Amino acid sequence: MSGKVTLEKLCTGVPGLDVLLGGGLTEFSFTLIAGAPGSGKTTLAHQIMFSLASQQRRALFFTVLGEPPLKMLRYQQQFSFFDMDKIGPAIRYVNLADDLRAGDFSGVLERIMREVEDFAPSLVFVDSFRSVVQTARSGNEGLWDLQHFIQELGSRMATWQATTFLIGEYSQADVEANPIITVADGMIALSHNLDEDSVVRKIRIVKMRGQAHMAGAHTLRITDDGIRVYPRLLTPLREVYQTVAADLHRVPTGVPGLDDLLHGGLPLGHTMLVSGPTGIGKTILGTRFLQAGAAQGEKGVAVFFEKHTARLHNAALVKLVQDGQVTVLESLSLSLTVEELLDQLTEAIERTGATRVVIDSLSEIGLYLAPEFRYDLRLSVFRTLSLLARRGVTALVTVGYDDNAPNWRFSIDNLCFLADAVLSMRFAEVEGHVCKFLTVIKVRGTSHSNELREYRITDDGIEVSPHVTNLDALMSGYPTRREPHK
Amino acid sequence: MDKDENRAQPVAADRMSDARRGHAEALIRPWSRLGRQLVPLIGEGGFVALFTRSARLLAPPRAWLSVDLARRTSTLLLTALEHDLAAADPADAAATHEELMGIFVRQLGALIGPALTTRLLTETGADGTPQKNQEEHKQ
Repeated sequence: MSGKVTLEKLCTGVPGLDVLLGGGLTEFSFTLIAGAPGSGKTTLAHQIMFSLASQQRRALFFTVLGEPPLKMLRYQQQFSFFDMDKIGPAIRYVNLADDLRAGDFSGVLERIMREVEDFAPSLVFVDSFRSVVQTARSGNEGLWDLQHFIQELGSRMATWQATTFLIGEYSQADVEANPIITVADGMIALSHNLDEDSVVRKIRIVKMRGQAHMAGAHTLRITDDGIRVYPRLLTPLREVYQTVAADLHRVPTGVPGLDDLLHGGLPLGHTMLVSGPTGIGKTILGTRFLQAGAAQGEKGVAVFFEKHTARLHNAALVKLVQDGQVTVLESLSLSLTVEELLDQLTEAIERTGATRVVIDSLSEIGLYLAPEFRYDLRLSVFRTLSLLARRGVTALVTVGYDDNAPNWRFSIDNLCFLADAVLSMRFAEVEGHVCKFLTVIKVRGTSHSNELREYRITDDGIEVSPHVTNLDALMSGYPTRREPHK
Repeated sequence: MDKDENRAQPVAADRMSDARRGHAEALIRPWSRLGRQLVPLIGEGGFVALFTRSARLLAPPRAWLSVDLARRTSTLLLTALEHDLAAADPADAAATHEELMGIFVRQLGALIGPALTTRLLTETGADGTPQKNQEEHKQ
């Protein structure tokens, strides 16, 4: 036995936050929750309080001169975590505004201690602590008063074995020169960053004594259920590197000719990137892929980033949706975060039990994404495809690109490296006609045809020629007829 | 009118005044409990604002009920209320108290919801002090 003290961890009840904290909040710690007005500080404090508070672990919430308590109660109870039954036996609110107006810090400290001794809390919150600081005398005397007050509060709460939170409107520049940050064991900074009229909320663990926390800024969302944090982490694939599938299970794509090229269909759980210029049939292929699943009793999810009217004419898709075989996800937000997209996808997959997903298309997704996610489209797509891989669904993802210069390019931003399989669809001018051709560029872990085949779009879908084309230099866009072998 | 009759009038008036004071004291007790319960939670400012608003919503308005914006604490408000209730006709005082209390609770409920309002008001013990449960803590 080492004899070292064990730091007990408290689960915050905020999804994702414990991962950032390195397992949870240290018991009896003194943590500053800092951020600009509206960044979610009070909501974060309440969510933690309602999650942890019980009759055996009571919480005392001091309100000072910030948000009026009546308004705070009015708005906080809108969140699902606000459990009315805990008010009274497990949670008590105390307003310190009059004490702060009436006297000095020592009076406030004594009032806090009286309430603490009366209610015997294990959790103490002071919101907003900035209000306390602003009442300090100016100059060195005020600074000394404040430092003394914070040290006293910190040591008394630790002695009382209360895990304490100070909530304040601080910026990064504020806290660096502030005695609070020296005394505090931990600091959680919240921010909402404006970029091109889009706001993305972020959370950062600036400091957390005694435990290895995750650095960096991580996205958070505030929903009816409160705050949810999205650590910048990928969830590991289950059972990876433990077994090797003896035989890949393949799923039909809905286009028999394409299944031939894939040597029996798309391997289960693979993501196929379908690339090609506008009008080449990518959306039709996506619809056929979903129809093929529905024919086998599989549910599908379609995520569309094209304008709505284009899909009103897709009768096959409308029928799939009406029959409950496909769920369509569409964003109305033009400040979409990848996390929202992943949340919607996860919810839809779990709710419907979907085994097939179509995303149409990655070329337009940038129109919906908030700037920081659009700037790094490749990372956004990588995170999306990683989620699909983790879920084990088979996916078809389309991407368009400039069609003015035929070449060997298969996607924008090198997205083709992120997919398990790549299908290239091309136009070529042949004897006065614009004809369509397709070829499978890659399929990870399995063989596939390397033939270029012509195809036509008919009322029955995509009909692929059973034979390799007799044209050469197709990928250049200006093919020549191949001489018959002699 | 003989001398005894002259003496009897002030005595009767004193008795009536004592009765009204006693009546007002009984009416003010729930307000004191309410103040003890709510002021720590919503502050003096919150309590005073709610009470003043409630008094203004009385219909018909009671001219005898003084509403003075200079009264900034619950103590000042309730002292004035007790004085006003004691000076009023007992039946009118009781009806006014009841209506005022109803409006106050509805106003609070409109802000924080009826469920939380009920929760907070039932937290007040019989003697008006919050329940103490320190001994069951940190076993």
